[in-house]
Amino acid sequence: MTYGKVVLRRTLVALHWLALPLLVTAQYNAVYNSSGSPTPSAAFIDASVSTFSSSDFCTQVYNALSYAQTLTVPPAGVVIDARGLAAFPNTCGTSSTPWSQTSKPAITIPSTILLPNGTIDIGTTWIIPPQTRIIGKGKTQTTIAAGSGFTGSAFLQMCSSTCTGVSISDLFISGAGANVTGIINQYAQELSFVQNVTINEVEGIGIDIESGATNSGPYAGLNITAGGTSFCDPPSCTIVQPTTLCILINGASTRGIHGLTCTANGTPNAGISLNGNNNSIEDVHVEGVIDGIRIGEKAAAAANYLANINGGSGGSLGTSGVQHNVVHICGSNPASTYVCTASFAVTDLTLLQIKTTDTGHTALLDDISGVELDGTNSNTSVAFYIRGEALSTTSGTYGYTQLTTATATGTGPTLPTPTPQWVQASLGTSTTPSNPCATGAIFSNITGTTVSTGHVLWACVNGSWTSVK
Amino acid sequence: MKHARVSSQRRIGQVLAMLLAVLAVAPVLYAQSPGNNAVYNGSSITWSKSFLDAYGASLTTSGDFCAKLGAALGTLGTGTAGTVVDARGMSVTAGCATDPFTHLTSGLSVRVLLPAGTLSMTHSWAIPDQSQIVGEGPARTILQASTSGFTDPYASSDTAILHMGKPSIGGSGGGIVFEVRIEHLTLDGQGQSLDGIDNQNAEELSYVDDVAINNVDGNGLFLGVDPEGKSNGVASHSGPYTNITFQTSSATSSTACINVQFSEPRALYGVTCIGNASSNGAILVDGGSVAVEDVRIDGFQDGIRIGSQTGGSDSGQTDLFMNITGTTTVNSTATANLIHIYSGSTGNITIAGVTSAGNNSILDSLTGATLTDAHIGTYIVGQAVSGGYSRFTTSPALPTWAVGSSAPSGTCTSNGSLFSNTGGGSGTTLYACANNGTSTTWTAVK
Repeated sequence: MTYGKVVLRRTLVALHWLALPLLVTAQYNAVYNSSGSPTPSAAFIDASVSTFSSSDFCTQVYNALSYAQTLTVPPAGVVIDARGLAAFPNTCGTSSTPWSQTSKPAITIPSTILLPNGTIDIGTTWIIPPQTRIIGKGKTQTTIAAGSGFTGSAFLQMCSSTCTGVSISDLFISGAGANVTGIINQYAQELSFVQNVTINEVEGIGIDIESGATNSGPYAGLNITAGGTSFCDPPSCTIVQPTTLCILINGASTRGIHGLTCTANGTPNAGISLNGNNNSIEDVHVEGVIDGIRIGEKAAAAANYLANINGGSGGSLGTSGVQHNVVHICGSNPASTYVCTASFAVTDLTLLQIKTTDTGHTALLDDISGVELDGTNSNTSVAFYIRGEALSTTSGTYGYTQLTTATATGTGPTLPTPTPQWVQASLGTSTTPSNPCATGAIFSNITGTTVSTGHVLWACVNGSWTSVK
Repeated sequence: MKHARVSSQRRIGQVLAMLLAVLAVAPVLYAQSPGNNAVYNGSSITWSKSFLDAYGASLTTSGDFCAKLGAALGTLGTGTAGTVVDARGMSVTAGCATDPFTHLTSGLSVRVLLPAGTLSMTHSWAIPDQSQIVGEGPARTILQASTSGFTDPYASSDTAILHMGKPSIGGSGGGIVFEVRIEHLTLDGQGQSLDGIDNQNAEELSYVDDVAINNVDGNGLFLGVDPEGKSNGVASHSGPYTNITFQTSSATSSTACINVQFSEPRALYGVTCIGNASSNGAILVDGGSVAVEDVRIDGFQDGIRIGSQTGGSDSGQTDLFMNITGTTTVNSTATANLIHIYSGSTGNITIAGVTSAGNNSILDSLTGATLTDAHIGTYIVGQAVSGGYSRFTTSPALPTWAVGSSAPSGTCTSNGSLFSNTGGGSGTTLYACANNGTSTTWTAVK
């Protein structure tokens, strides 16, 4: 061996030893120390290394979590970086999840799991344990899909009993037309949320929030497609059904739904079904569902607050179906079409900025009082509609406290019922308010007098303004 | 000939060795720093400055967590503003006796990733301008104020675990900062009378998100004014403050979940406040243009107090409250008043979506109203007019406007209410609720 070869060999051996720490502590990230050598840092565990290797994606992530959980002194929490698994096996068996493997201990250590881009075909519902956060690489980059032989009624489930601190963010759930639920939350409460998630062609319920999920949320930055006419691959969307929903709130009080686009092919009865007290729903766009938000069909709903809700039929490319009512309050005085299957008490409801983009359809349908604010009566939007509490006697309810800016006139008392409002203007001393008007409305003439025809206070009687004072 | 061949091979070997030596040593001598990430460069390992690993950067430093983190921060030099400092690989068991940010070169900013575990602190932190701290999540990354001599040199009055920026004390230090953020962690005061987070200096682009504040018996979150005046800093225009839980079982009369004191932060979104019967107000709002949404209150005498603090230029006004819920899940007694508007408020307050667990849902000391409704859709107080206030509520307990399709009958609940009968005719369309001397009944107006 020549001297040059000897030097070369020795140099390569030295380089090998420099790299060796990476091999013997492969589960941790390598960083440089003050000696210029890589050394392991427990900042996170890379699930893609061979130490955890498996042909099953979920098993490989489980192995990484199990490693942390079985340390002599387990950390209070661990970050598992599975983003390097993008080019590795991307399927999970029918009894395999990152937290549960057949005949192995369940994972209970709190964790944050960073998921790779690409599609992960899961074999069964991922039941996410307490204090666990799963984070993808984006709403269109990390996809959770049903693999061959998928079993389960939901893709993701937030805990199996009452818990806190569970979140799902930055990923895409592909239902491919399956009649299942995208995310179900029956148990996760404080500090549990769903954020920046797309749910596509899940024909059961996009997100199901049950009563045990009270105090969870917000559910924010959501795009949910419950089937559509041009971007749904037949025949998968043929099963889109009336009961398909983007979001169901069933007896829960949450920290709200903030930012949602919900689209479908016109078949589902509702985009959001709201059946609980104290929820805020803001910044919502709906297309292709009969009712954008249907309130009080499954349970009572009190003290809810809805703002900036708009709906319309289809898109410029015809990507979704017909949209009928943006907000529909279920009640005992329904219209002849689009009838709720049942109705429970809806009280103390505040609606701000409700709009339909279709002149032929309805911004608000209120089955309690029979109010219908529809585009054919130039009511494509309403700034303010507040349905308060019932006024009752022993013989029943005879009215509700109410305030609205809507100007629906209709032909009452048959549907659509007029919506009395308070109108103000400066008409001077000789001008009367113009007819028709909504029976029961009042009008304040700021510049009127009590001694002229331009009176100060008017009431609308039988569709015509009549002076009061 | 043989000698020449050997010499030639030796020279080749020497050149090759020198080349390899240079390749191998160069990173050590000229560019690599402790804490640099190791990444592959072809088949070899090289360094990356994508972030600084605080564990690697502090291996030769002795001391506790903050001494090591401070040492890592101290390695950052000119041109490293905004560096991500990953401290998640560090052990927190040695605790923290100093403010690590004092080691950061003046003018630099950092984003520090904190590890899971409970860090026992005997010294507060002042997070500098354009810097952020990010934990692994509430209940996982826990910053705990030690009960053995916790000190806060930045506090002029209330001691705090964390300060967003540095308050002015005695004419030195302090000043306005921006883009200071605190995310994904728990603060534990261990039942001490101190604050969790004080913001008197951080303005635009500053916020708190996903933070649990436990066992803090001062203010969980204090949003106020620099001790030496607003010109040195105020929490106005900061926020939103989102996804915050506050819980203490040892609350005192001075405990508050969130105290907005004479400042105008953007909003509080998603807040749970759990106290006890000793604690007075959960959320104190003494500032204008504040939106408070998706709030749960359990315990406390008052859930939300508006305009209760005096002495500042901002009283509770032009504020918006939405989706406010009182519960008795933790404390068996409901708040005395879920929302309490003090006479110190100057009005223009909008409330929508209130559910009370009992007692008063709204006590309005400004206009003199008390509501006990379990649910309230809307309660709006405008401005003073002719000895009264413009006001609208959906509660029938106060003057309101109701609509029905038939004539009202019998008594009514609030003198001055209106009723519109959409099915009425002349004399049966508009009614007023009026006391006729013996009873309060609906009286036809038109």
